[in-house]
Amino acid sequence: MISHLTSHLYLLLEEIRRLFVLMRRYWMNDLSFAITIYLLFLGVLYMGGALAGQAVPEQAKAATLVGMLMWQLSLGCMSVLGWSFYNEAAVGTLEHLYLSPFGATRIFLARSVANFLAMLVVTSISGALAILTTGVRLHLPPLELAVIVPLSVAGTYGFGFLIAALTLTFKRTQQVMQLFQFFFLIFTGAAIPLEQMHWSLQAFGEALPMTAGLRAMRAVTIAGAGLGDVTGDLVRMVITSAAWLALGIAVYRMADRRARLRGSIGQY
Amino acid sequence: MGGPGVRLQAAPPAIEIEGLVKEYRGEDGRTFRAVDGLNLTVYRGEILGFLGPNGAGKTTTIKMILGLVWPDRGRITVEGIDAGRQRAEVLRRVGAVLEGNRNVYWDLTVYENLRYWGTLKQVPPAVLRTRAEELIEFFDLGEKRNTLVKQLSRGMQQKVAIACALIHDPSVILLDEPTLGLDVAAARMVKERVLELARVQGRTVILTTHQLDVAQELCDRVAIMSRGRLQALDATENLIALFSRQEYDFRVEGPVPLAELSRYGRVQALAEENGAGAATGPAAQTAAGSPPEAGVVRFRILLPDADALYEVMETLRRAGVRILAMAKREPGLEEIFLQVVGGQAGPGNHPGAGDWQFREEVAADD
Ligand SMILES: Nc1ncnc2c1ncn2[C@@H]1O[C@H](COP(=O)(O)OP(=O)(O)OP(=O)(O)O)[C@@H](O)[C@H]1O
Ligand SMILES: [Mg+2]
Repeated sequence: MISHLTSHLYLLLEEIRRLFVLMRRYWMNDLSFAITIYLLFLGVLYMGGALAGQAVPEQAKAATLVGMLMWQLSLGCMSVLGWSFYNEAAVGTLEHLYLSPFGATRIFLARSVANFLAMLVVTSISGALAILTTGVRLHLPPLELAVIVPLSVAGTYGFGFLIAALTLTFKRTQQVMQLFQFFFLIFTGAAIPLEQMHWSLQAFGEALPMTAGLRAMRAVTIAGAGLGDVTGDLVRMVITSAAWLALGIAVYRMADRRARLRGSIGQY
Repeated sequence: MGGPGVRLQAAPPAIEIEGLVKEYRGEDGRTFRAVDGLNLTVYRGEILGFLGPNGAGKTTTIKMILGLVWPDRGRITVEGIDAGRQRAEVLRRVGAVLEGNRNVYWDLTVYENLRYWGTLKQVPPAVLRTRAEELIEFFDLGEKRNTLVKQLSRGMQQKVAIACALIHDPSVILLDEPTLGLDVAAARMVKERVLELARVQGRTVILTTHQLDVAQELCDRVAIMSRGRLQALDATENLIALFSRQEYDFRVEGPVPLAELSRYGRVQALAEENGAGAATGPAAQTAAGSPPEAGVVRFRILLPDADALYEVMETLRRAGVRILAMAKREPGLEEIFLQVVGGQAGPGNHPGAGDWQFREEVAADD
């Protein structure tokens, strides 16, 4: 027998290994994703400039880039708890995940961590392309990034558990997933400044995971702020992330319970 | 180790199911009872076959044992452990291959799958390596260990699925239609492995199948389920004996005294074996079609008891009929199955008497 903690560590390492094996095997997909986001960034950047009829100020360029990259990171939850959850439910491997003594929740948490690491690699590629070809300058202080990035993205995986719950309950959720991908783009201030929206939408945006994290990221990477300058947003991102994770997992467990009562885990 | 004869009396049975009920709610809101008060004990080391028509509730029962579906009522224990209360403990003892599913990741290799599923089953890494090697050898997958599962044949994919279900060395294995969609050779390969899992390695195997020959070849006991209920449960050979009848096939030469034989039992003409007709075709036609065998007739007779056979023999002797061959007919599992699920549960009720009338109108055609 191995200890409880060790076996969880093995689970996490195995999930990471599996994901990186798949990434190496299907690297074209991940590279395409990185390039897509890069192109999208170029589009937003120059279209905005063209519409305004003048060159986009450097600050705005950098803010857009940070917004796009954080949005890209937030999409990680869709790939692990949205698309691949849906596919696994449809082909039947999901039921086998349910046969692990770990339980599906812990497996998907481990997967989320693995996916986050993989997304960091992909996002770095998009970011590097953007910086190299547009001359945008960012401060990238390691300590600040290591704290803010995981803390602000964690909540999106909580949101991902909600998507998984929807899939367990309603089965065909591809359209819903597409819809939610744009949620974070619009309402966290990633593409459009949140301050310009109606107060109700602003309040909604503040409640989403990542909104506070994104603001802190911009402060750090563009204005060169330190952790001490963004304590308010740090507190906010801890609260929203914890709340979204708790909510997502709770709802997911309810959906899971319902699916087992209805015998519908493997029925697609 | 060994077959069901070597059961340990003191140890709790492999699986015990008591009063299991599962109702599903359909789209229209109406409830439907998929499993209706099932009681079943599965002994350690046996291979139990779960038979039943589509929708009988076999898969639902298997999924309830695994905790993938929650029962409405009833209790399931695996080796004495309550499946509802200590599910994780049960999952460590049980391996499963589910019906019509991808049971493993198609975009991982054979070895990667073994390692992945082994980790999920909390097998320590050092043990996992040896176990994976053993299974690769056991299923003869050595050459394919680094091949993606999606590139394997259907039969090999099934072997990988079973191997992954065995990675944590479970003592109970649940196989939902393990030979579905496999060709004859692949099915035989799977059957041989399954036999070895029980007979040599001493594991308990529960399998569902629609291929009755699979059940007949593999299973120590057979449970026949229909409409959520157990309709029959017995050792395979007992079930066959129970349904066996005083039914004999004769191959004779000479003028068969049909009218007289009909007094002892129901007579049915059979086609000559080497004739071109269907097995139940009229004897007269076949006899006409094969001159060298002229006068050779095959018929089947169903008697009320064994003693009547003396009368039949005596009648044939008096009529000067030469008996070329005679055999008592044993029912296959298929026949038993059809009788049990046909709503005429229990032995003694035999199907449509109409089949057993000698077809004189056809015989008189010539
Ligand atoms: N999740 C579900 N929701 C509603 N009805 C279900 C569900 N799962 C199964 N059923 C129904 O319950 C009945 C039993 O199904 P089950 O899959 O257990 O049968 P089975 O004996 O395995 O059949 P088969 O031989 O076709 O595999 C069927 O009528 C099926 O349609
Ligand atoms: Mg079934």
